[in-house]
Amino acid sequence: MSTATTPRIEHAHHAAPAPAVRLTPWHVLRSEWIKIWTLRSTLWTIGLTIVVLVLLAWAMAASAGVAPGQFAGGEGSASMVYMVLAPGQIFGSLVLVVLAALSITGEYGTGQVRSTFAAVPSRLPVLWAKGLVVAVVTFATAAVGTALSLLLAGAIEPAMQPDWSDPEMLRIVVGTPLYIATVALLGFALGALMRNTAATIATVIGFVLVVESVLNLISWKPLEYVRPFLPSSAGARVATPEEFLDMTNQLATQAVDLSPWGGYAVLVGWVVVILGAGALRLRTRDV
Amino acid sequence: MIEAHGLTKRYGSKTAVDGIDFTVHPGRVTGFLGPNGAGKSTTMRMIVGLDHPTAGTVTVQGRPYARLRSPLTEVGALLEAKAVHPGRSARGHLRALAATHGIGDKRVDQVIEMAGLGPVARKRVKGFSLGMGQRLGIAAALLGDPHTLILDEPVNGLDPEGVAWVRGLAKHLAAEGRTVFLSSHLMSEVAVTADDLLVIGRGRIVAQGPVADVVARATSTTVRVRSPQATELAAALSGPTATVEAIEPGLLEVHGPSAAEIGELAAASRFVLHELTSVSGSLEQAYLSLTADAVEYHSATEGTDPSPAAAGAAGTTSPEAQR
Repeated sequence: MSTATTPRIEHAHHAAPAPAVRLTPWHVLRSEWIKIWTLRSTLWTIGLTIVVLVLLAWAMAASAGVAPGQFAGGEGSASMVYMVLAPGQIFGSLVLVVLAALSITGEYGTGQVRSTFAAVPSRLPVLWAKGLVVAVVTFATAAVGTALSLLLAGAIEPAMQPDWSDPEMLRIVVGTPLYIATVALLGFALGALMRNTAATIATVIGFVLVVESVLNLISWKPLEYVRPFLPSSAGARVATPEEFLDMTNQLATQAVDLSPWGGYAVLVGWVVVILGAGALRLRTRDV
Repeated sequence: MIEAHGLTKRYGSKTAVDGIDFTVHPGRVTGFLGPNGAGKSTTMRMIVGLDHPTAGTVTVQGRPYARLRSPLTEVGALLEAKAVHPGRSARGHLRALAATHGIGDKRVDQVIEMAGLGPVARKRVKGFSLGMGQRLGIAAALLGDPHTLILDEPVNGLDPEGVAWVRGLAKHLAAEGRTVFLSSHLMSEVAVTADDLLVIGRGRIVAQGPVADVVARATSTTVRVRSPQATELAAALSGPTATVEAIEPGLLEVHGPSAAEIGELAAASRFVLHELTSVSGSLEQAYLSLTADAVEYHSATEGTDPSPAAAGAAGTTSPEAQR
């Protein structure tokens, strides 16, 4: 042993941690909170989402000035606000689904998961903590994007200033970040189950963008029983005014006419089932 | 204290670890030795609950790892270099791990200093060399100031200063009464650090015990005898307990009897001896003989070497044509 190495070894002896040191769910939550903020990609994704949400709202508000008569509903109505937020609902959910999926598949892809599960061998607390962190971060991002979108749109086009006394308008404003965050959680749940970044993102985006759209276009009778239960289409109802829901129902008939919150419950059901399957796999499989 | 009973791991039809029993004692450095693919890493992963055993049990301080209340203060494990998200800084990685147990940033900065990571602590792990990644893994293992330390190939990729540090650290922690379990595929590495040895080959324990005992049991001492009457001496020595090999005219290698016994026999029979030397087996020989039947991946032997060099030596003939 060289003299140069001796002093560093002796640190180990004096550095006994405090007796409060213990594995708790709260500590795991804190760990996951640190994890998400110590990756640069998190900040990039959040920044990108907010900027694009606001840009889309600006584009909608600016085009409204050209042809104000094309919008249904009165000033500041649910439909008016929905026009501002609808493009962002699609874009925001697609970007944040990637952030959510990566938060778990990134662990498997990099080998980080072995460090994580060696520290938390019961494993499930990691899944719950990570899911909670992802839910909070994606909801907050979408909420900030939504708020800024409404402020900007209202400033450009006074007819788009929200009418806060309208409960349906309120539902759209709350429903938009709720829908975006829940679709992101769908990506998180699939990531927990599939453990592979490319497969997860391809599946969730492929399903939302391609499969659901195609199923909504084909006028085959039995599909009436499938359409109400497609995760993204059903969940989007919470962020869509009745006026537009009626229009969609005429284009693609549905056997069950779910209420906005009923549709959202279907999306939540998908998340719960897939997350449950992921949890089961997490407990039993080697990493 | 780590105890394994009938510990088994199968992947499909392949048995990686085959019903092994062992105990790793506190206060000692135990070397876990075996060729590549012998089951060392699988065994270590089962100890910390990353892989589930197909059969059998393994406990740390009498409990399965997953049932420990505070895993990081019980066991610190370095399982492979860079079990780390490359986008996070070394400090960020350690802070996230420490947080699971409520270990503060003060301890994080301590282990960073101990592992000599100070200058790169805020750099992303992506750019780390193998040695730096290894230091980060060891720093992570030390976070909880654990009672048991499990290090899989800890000196891999380390510079000489780092190797000396790991050796000193292992001995120091064992001297404090902790359990230190480190693996290697190099006997020479383990021999300078370990007190006890656990040798694994093809998923089975082929030897265990104090280093000196394992080496003594695995190596037979050979006596080299030079004599002008070698042929007659060989005839006199041969018997059920001794084998005699004529190396060259006048030189014998005797397995079995000790140098003293051979000397006495020679004196009694009035043979002239020019040399009488005990040749002890080396550590590497002991290791090779222990695992000779248990090497998973044999190197290609010279005769079948299809390398360009072999082809070149044979002139215009291709290796295929030589067969």
